[in-house]
Amino acid sequence: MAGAFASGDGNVFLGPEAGYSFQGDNQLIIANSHAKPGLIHGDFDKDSLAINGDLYVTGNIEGSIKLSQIIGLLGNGYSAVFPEALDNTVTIEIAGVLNTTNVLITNSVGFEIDTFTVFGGSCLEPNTGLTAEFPLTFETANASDISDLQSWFSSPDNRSLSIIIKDVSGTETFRYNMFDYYPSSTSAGTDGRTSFTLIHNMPPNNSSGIEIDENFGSSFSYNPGTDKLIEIEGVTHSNFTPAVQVDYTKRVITLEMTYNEGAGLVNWINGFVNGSDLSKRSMSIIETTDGTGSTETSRENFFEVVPFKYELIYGFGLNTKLKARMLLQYGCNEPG
Amino acid sequence: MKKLLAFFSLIIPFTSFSQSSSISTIPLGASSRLSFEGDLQSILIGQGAGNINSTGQFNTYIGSLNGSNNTDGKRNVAIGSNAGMNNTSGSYNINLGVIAGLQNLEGLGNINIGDGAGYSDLYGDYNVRI
Repeated sequence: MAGAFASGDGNVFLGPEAGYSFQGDNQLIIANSHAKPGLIHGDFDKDSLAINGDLYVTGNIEGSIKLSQIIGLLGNGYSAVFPEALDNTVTIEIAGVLNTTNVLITNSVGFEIDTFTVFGGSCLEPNTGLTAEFPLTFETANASDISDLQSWFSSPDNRSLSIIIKDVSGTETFRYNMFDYYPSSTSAGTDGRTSFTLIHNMPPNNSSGIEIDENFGSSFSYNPGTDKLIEIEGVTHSNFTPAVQVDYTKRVITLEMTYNEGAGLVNWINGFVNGSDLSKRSMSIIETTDGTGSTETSRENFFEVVPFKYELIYGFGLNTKLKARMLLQYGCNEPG
Repeated sequence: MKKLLAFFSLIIPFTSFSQSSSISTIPLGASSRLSFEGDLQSILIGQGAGNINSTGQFNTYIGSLNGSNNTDGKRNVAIGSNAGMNNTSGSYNINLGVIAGLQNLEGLGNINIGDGAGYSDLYGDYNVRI
C-alpha cells in the first residue's frame, strides 16, 4: 500500500504504507507503517535527508558537520557559534597575510593572572599578581595559506587579526579583533596540517591586544539546565545568564558563556591585565525560574571578587560546545 | 472419455479464434480473453483488459480490468487484478499488484509495486511506490 492515498510528482516511497497518504512532490519516504513517521525521509528539492531514529556509523563521516544546526545542542537562546565546531574550525583574517579563510583552532587567546590571598578581617582578600597571555595556535592544510603564513614567519612583524563569528546561516555576526600578534613558532600539525602559533607581542601593561566588536554580547541566552542569573557590580549587562559553578573550598567561581553574552567581562579583566583598574567587585548568583530578575527566588552574594583567568575560546572537543570562560576568585560569601 | 473432453475444451477456444487486421483475440470464457494487438503491439490478458484501447501502443495488461479504460496511453505495464484500471492516457506506468495504480488517470512514468501501491493518485507523474 505504498502511497496508496498519496498524490504528487517525483516521489519515491519504499515499504508497506510508505507515504500512505502523503501530499507533495519530490520526497523520499522509507517506512513500514503509516502510523508513524518514516524511518527515512528525504527531500529531493532541498537535497536533505532526515533519519527518524538513531544513526550508527562504523566508518568515518566525511565532509563537515555544523554542530550549530543540531537542534537542542546549544540550549535555549544560543544563536551565535563557530561554524563547523566539530572541527573547531573558525574563520580568520590576518592583515596582509590571510584573507578570510578557515583554520583549525587548537589553542585560543586569553589571560591568566596569579592570585594570592591576604588573610585579614572577616573576609579574605584576593589580590592579583603576574599576568600571562595565551598564544593563538591554529592549523591549516591549505597550501596557499601555508605559503602565505610561512612568508610572514620568515619576515615576522606585528599584525592585526580577526576571528570572525558567524551565525548558523553563515552570516558574520561579530568579530574579535586582536592587535600586535607576532609569529612565534610553526610545526607539523595533525592529519598532515601545518601548525602556526602567534603571540601577543606587547607587554601586558600596554594592551591586552583583544578588542571586542561593539556587537558583542549583551544578549539573553538562557539554558535552564546550567545557567543562573549573574550580577557583578559595574561589569555585567542585564539578564546575564552563564553556566555557573562554585568551588567553595578554593573560593573559585567559573562562568561559561556563549559569544552573544558576557559583555563587560573582557574589559574588566583587561583592567587587571594592564593594571589600569584593579577594582574588586561584589557579585550575586541569583536563582530564578526563567533567567530574568523578575522571577528571582533567592540569591547568594560574593564579595571581594577578582577575575584571574579568561579564555576567549574554551571547550574544544566533541562533547562540549565552544564558548568563553572566566574564572573568579572571591574573598567571602553570604549564602542566600 | 474424460481425456477426449479435455482435448475438446482446449480446442474450442481456438475454434472461435478471431483475427481481423492484425488483432488476434482468444476468448477464455467469462469475458476473459487473450489478445495480441499487432498494430498496437500490445498484450492484453484478462477480463476487460485493455478493453477500449484505441491507439495506445506497447501496453501489457495482465489481469481483469487492467487498463480497461485506457484509450491512448502507451508503454504501460499492469499486472494484477484491476491494476492501472482507470488509466486513460497515462503512459510509461508500471503497476504490479492488485489495484496498484488503480485510480491513475493520466499520470506518467509511475512505478507502483505491491497490493494497492499508488492506488488513488489521479495525475501524479514519475513516482516510485514499492
